[in-house]
Formats: sequence, C-alpha cells, structure tokens
Amino acid sequence: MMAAYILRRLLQTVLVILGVSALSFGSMFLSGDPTMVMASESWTRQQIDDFRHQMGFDRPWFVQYLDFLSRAARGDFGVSLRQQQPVSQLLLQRVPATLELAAAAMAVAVGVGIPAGVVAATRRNTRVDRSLMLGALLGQSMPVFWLGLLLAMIFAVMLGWFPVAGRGGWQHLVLPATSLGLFSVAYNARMTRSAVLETLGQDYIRTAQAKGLSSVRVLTRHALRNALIPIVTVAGLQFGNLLGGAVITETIFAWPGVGRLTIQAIQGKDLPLVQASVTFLATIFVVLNLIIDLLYVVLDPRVRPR
Amino acid sequence: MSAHRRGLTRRQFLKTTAATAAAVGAGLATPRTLMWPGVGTVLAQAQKPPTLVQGVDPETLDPQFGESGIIGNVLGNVMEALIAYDRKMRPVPFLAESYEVLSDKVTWRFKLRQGIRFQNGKPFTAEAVKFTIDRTMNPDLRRQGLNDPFPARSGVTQVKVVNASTVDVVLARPNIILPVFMSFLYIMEPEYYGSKSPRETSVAPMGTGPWKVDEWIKGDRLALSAFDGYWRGAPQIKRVVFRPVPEKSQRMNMLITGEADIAIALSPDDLPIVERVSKLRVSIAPGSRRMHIGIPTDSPKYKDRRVRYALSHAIDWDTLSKGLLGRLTPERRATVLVAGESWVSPRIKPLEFNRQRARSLLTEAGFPMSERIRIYTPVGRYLKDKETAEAVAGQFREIGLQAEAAPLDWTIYTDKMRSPGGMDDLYLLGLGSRFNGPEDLSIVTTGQIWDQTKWITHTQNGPKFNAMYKELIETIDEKKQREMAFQMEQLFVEETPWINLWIQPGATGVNRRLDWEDSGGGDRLNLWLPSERDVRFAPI
Repeated sequence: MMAAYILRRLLQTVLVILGVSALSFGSMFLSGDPTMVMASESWTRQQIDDFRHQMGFDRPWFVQYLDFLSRAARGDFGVSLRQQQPVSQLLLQRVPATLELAAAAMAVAVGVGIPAGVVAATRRNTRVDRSLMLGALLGQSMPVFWLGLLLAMIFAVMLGWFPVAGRGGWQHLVLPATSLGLFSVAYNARMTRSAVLETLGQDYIRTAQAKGLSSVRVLTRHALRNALIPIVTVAGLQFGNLLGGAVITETIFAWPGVGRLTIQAIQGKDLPLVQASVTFLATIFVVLNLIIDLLYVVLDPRVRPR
Repeated sequence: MSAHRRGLTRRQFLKTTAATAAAVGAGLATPRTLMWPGVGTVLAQAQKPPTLVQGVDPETLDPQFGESGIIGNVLGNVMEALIAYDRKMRPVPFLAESYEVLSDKVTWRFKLRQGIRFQNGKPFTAEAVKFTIDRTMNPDLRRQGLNDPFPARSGVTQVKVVNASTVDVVLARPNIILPVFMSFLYIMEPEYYGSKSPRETSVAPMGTGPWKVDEWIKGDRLALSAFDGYWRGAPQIKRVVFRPVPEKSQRMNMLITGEADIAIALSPDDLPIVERVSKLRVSIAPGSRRMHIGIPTDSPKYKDRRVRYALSHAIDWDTLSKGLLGRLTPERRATVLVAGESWVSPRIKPLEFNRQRARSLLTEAGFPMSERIRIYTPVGRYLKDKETAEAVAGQFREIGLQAEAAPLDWTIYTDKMRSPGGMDDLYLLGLGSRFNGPEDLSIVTTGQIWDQTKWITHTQNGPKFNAMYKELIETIDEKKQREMAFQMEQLFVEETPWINLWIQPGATGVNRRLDWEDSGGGDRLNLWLPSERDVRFAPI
C-alpha cells in the first residue's frame, strides 16, 4: 500500500511539474509575439525575421512546446539572449545564494517562532502572551519590502551594525534573513501557541504532571514533542515559500539569488531565462511538497495509508 | 498553568535577564566599533577599493553583443576606441593619433598610436582595428546574437590595413558621422577574440584600457584590477569594484554608510540627503538625454501647425523645471534637438510661455477642446518622467484642454512605438546624444523608430529637412556643416513637432576620499578621461 501511495504522489508531482512547464511556456505568448518582445528597438524587419526563424518561433506552438520539454528534461533551457551563457549554468550559479538565504530565514522562523509560541502558550493570557501575539500580528502585517528597508535604515545606516546590502560573511545574511523570515516567525509563533495549548489540555499531560515531573520536562518531553508534528510539516512548506518569496528580499538587499536573476530576465525580456527560472522555482516547491508529504507519513503513523 | 509559572523562579528570571543583557551587550560592543571606527579602521577604510553602485549588472561584457549605459560604465574603463570624448564632450583622437577623410570622401584614414599593448601583452596594430570592424559584420556571430549597429550606422564596406599603424575604413557613401560611431567601437585583441566563443568573451573582455576584469560574480560584484602595462601609465588605484544594487534607496544607504563610494543617477530629492553627510559630495555633470514631448503630426488633432505652437506656448518652463528638477535644473535651450551647445542655432529663440496666445491659437485652428489628450510616458526610465508628464498635462488643463498623463511600462511603451500606427497621441521621450549636430539631427529623419512625430512625411518642412540631411552627411567642411545644421534646426522648429523640455542633467554621489568628478551626468562613468589623470584617493 505504501509503495502505491508513493507512486501515486510521484505521478501527481510529475503532472504538476508538467502543468507548471506548460504555464511557463505559455507565458511567453502572453505579451504578444515573443519575437517582437525580445527584438531590439533598432532592428530591421529582416533582422526580426531572421531572429524569429533562429529561435524557432515560426514553428507551430505545440512543436515548440515539445521541443522545450524534451530539452528541459535534459537540463537544457537554451542560451540566455542577453548574457550569451547557458541558462542552466546561470541558474546553478545563483542557487547557492538563494538556498543560503532561505535556510537562514528558516532558522530565524523556527529558532524564534517556536520558542515564542511555547512561551506564549505557557504564559497564556498574561502580558508576555499578549505582547508576543501582538508582535506576531505585526510580523504578519508588515510588507516584506517595507520591513527590509526599515531594518536596513535602523541596523545598517543608523546603528552601523550590519552591511546595507550584498552577499559576504554572516553579517551580510542577518538583515535579509530576518526580513524574509519574520513573516514565518509570526506564523510559527501563533501556530505553536495553539498546538501547545491544545496538547497541554490532554490527559497524558495531566498524568505526567501527577507523576511529579518538572514543568520543563513535561513541556519538552511530552507537550512539545506532540505539538511539533504539524509545525514541522508547515515548516517544510514554508521553506518552499521562502525560496520563492525571496524575490523581493533579494532585490532589496542586492542578494545574488535566483529571484533577482528572474527579475533581471523579465526586465531584459530574456524569455529563455524567465521560463527556466519560473520552472525551476516551481519545481523546487513541488518537490519539497512531495518530500514533506512522504515525511509526514513516516512521522505520523495515523496518516499512513492502509 | 500555575505549575508552569512555578517553573521560573525569581532567581532564574534574574539569571536569565543578566545573561541576556550580557549577550546583547557583547553583541553591541563588536559592531559599534564599525560605526565609530578608530584610527586603524580609518586607514584601512582609505585603502578599501572604491565601490561603484548601479542598478543592475551588465548583461554581457562583449561590447558587440550588447549596448547599454550599464555595459559602457564598466567597459569604458577596460576597453578603448580610436576616438574618445573629453570632459567637454568633444571627440578627440585616442587610440588613433589622427584621422582624415581622403579625397574620395568615402575613405577615412586613421593613424594609430604606437607602443600600445592589450592586457594580454599583444601589440595594438591596424590588424586589431580591421578585426574589430570585420567582426561586427560576421554573419555567424550575428546569428548568435551579435547586434552591433556599427555596420548599419556607418555604411562600412571594407577595412584596409595600410601598414601596422595605419588603417583605412571605406564606406559605401560619404558619412561625416563616422568619428562618432568609431567612439563606440571598442578595439579587440584579434587573437583572443578570434579564438574564443561569445560565451567566453561575454564574461572576460580583453582591451587596452587601464583596468582589466579580475573577478565577476554575477549579480554580486564585478572587480577590476589595474593593468600595469597601460599606455598612459599604471592606474594609481589598483582595484575597483562595481556592485549591482537594484533598490535606489539602498544605493543611497550604501553611500551613506561608506559601503559605496560612487552612486550614479541621483534624483533631485537625494541631493539634500547626500549633502547632509560630511564625507559625501555631489558631482553634477551635464547629461546627454534630450527630453521632449513628441507630437504625432499625422494625427488630425495635431496636423495644424498652430495647435503645436499652442501646446508649446502653454508650457511654463521655469515652474516646470524648477519644480521637478530643483537644483539640477539646466539652462533653458531654444531647442533640445541637438545637445552639443556649439550646434544649437543662435538664431532660434524659445517659444514664450503665454497662455492667452495658446488659447487664441487653438481657437484659430478650430481645435476641439472637448477632445481628450493623452501624454504617454514611461515610468522610471528618465528622471521624474511620469511626474513631468503629469505636470505638463496639468499645464495643458490650465488652457482648457482635457489632458492627462498615460504612464506605461517601458516594454509596452516601445511596443506601442513599433505598432503599425505608432504613437497616436503625445509622448514623453528622452533621446541620447553624442553631442554631434549631424548625428543628433539624424534621429528625426526618415525611418527612425525613435521619431514618432512622422513630421518628415506629414509636414511642409519635413521633405526639405530630409534632403538637406543627405547633403549634410556628405559635407566635409565643418563650417558649412554647422550652417546647414542651423538651417535644419530652423526648419524643425518652424514645424514644432517637439515640445522642448531639457537636456536631462545628472548627479552622482561621491565619497570625499575619492578625487574624481563625473563627466557624463550619470549616462557614462569614466574613471580616466582623455587628457586627464586617473581617479585617485584624495589626500587625507
């Protein structure tokens, strides 16, 4: 049964990726004739026609799509029109920076969000709880671009603690990771609070307390361990969101990741690069989703298919 | 609940608070030394390579595969041309020692400087010039994306090597603008560019310039290092770093914190911020972009010359320019058709601001006042572009017109230009200039996509202007050239297909530790101009 479940999820994932690739391919035609979108303003009619033929835009769309798919399956997304480099190479150069930022943001989201949620739950209806939940509300309400600029203004310009922008040592990572991770901090804090509160009301917690265990032990060994299952699941999905959502943060903090590459490609009308970036980000998200689904089955026996 | 509260005693709380305070204190102590640096840090800072920030990375460093100011800002310090521009925007022989047009009027002879070497040690010779021009016409490379407009603009047919230091460039017909086009043509090392693919040359250029590309981490930094064998002497500054920072306010923040030393294209609103920081200064230079509002003369609305005059009379230039550009307001020009001051006809006077006159001209012309007027404008491409269109629309409304700004994304704006009918209403545009009268005039001749007024075919003076232009580019005598250009400007102004705004000024924020002045108003960033010395650290 388990093998069938995995196979079914794999098949669904492949279908979703195919759908994403079709959307990404179709987006090329949304703004009209792709040749005219990519053509330089000063080109002659002859240059435009030559370019159309060279790019294969004079073929039927389904032939173009099949060609795109077959090359994409081999990791070949063509050559960037503006940069003269293979698109896959340009993407791979940027992946480490995006992963680094998403991982750091994730550390902030989990490292701050979960403890804050636990504290809020254990201090329910106190000033601490209300302050933490107010903070969480603010964290979820603030737009990323605004928060990023605010952090840069306070911690880089006024206090001089961290660099304004760019990639380098750990100092460069602090502001963009905080800016990107703060939304998830707020989400994690609220979710952890609810989960811990729910667990603290269970009979087995009362039993543990009656056994004379210390409150810290009850919290860490019994309450938190059970409350964490849904939190871990959501955290995994958040990582996918952080990868995709890094576009704004990467732009504000001049972080050389995939998001910024995508923006540059869109602005430069570099369609092969746009297609590849969108397909890549979407595929990562879908694959992460698959991994979490499978992990969830491993972690929680109750959801295993019978 | 009470059990959990019991979990943290007063003693534990105090311990935790003390530990947190100690950790925060330690955290604060370290970075604060960055904020208030000691003498050692100041000295280290003085040696830090100058960092220049601009909005994006160059897409390519192969000059024949891309043409943009961003590429030029980097490559202008790595590669060189036979002709260059000095601070006053005059073309001067650079890698060429001199040049002349031969008696057949189509052959230009360039005598080259000797003793110059490329960054790989190979000598600069006439062969390199021939290779560079031939490469712009290479059909294989064109298929791979080479898009250098040099062959189309210049009309070059062949390049002949006369000897190692003399080269003839032969054109299909006389063209006095060739020196301008040659100033864009960065000379390439033949062996290097002949053996490398575009994929390789797009990231590692090879020229004769004072700095060479040392490291390029795309999207993060592009570092240049000094070329010690440079023909004008080794640069004093051994390393220069370009960083792409898309967010404008962050470029300003980097300038303020000292992470950046030069930030180009400041807006008027940025100037007071920069000037409040003692270690910074503003370098203002004349720009080259001819800002205007084009009037499509083929539109029934604007067919009558009196309507076009009325629109110009409705503009309160002083209020408009000072309100939008503040301290960056340049001197008013009678026409912005030509950017080089010496090419502006002294006989032309600007149309005065006179709302009464504007209204009566519209009445005379029988202009339908209820007709809606749109001013298409790109957003964020030029200094205060959308705001300018909105302000102009506001001034039009003052004389009773139903005018409004129509902001468009640049891609949509250019698509509209290329559509079969082209622009169907007023449009705000900024055209670059190389400060050469004949080259500036060429932009409003037949078949130029950048001229959406269609005035050549839809006005009385247009055909005459076109005929004169053909004669102008074959006229070798410079005095005669200038007189013809003045006459052509007169023809243009009589038809008024443009509402003149200004030559877009430029301001650059510079850290005082650098001894350098901007020369191109943010349109070009040259760290070592002809006949001048290189950028240096200012004496402490």
